[in-house]
Amino acid sequence: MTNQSFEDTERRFRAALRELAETRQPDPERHWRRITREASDGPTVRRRHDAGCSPPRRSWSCSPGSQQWRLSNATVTTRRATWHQYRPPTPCQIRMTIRYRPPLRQTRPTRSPPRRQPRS
Amino acid sequence: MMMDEPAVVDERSDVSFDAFFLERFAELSRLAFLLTGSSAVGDEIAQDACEEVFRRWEDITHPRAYARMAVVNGARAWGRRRARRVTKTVESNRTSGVDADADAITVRAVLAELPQAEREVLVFRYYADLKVDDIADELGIPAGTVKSHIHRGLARMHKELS
Repeated sequence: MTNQSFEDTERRFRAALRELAETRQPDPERHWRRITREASDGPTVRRRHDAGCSPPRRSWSCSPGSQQWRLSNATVTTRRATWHQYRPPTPCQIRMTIRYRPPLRQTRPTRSPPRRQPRS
Repeated sequence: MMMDEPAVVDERSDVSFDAFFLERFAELSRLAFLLTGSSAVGDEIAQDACEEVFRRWEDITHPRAYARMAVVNGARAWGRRRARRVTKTVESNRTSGVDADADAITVRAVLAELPQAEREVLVFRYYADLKVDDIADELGIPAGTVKSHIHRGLARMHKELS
């Protein structure tokens, strides 16, 4: 590449990159509301677009002495050993320290067999 | 909103987190979008980065650089998770809902195919307008590596754009 063509490519690339970026018009208000809600209300767990698992619900349980918290469908391992002292973590601690693991296996919901109609 | 100032001007001084967020969220979201190629993922990553800044607001001296690195880390983590999955999303990047000119669409497609490190360097250099030494500092790689990534990436862009 000559200097001229290098500079030309730089210029076109920079312009294209900025135009591409400008196609994104995010809504800071919406995200601001989510941040403040999570800071005040607790651990709302968002569905990740790429996580491949359903979002865990807010049903926490923990056996004393354990460092593992159970959510409805995910295991959450704490990094802090103090969590199991019967004191629920603050939302910020949760957001900072938990890592979600997708369930090992997708299981189908169990369905009861259809009832047989009594013969008339 | 472009990032055309050097990385050191974002000293916190008296700026509140609210002001930081309103001023920088769009910028961070766009950065994440360029690094991942996905608008929705970009927004999520930018929000996570802002939450991280929010939690550590009192301890951070350069929130803008901190948030930028949080975005880069978020994009890397997303890239790793995506690589483990079978579904392929790259081809949809060529056509999916971006209202831009031909160069921008080509650039988006080429970015998606570049290695993560090269993409980061190119976006930092040509979108965030950081200097080579600043990029090296922020990404923690040698300046020579930054230069070679830029050179290789531009050669690829030259080929695709011409």
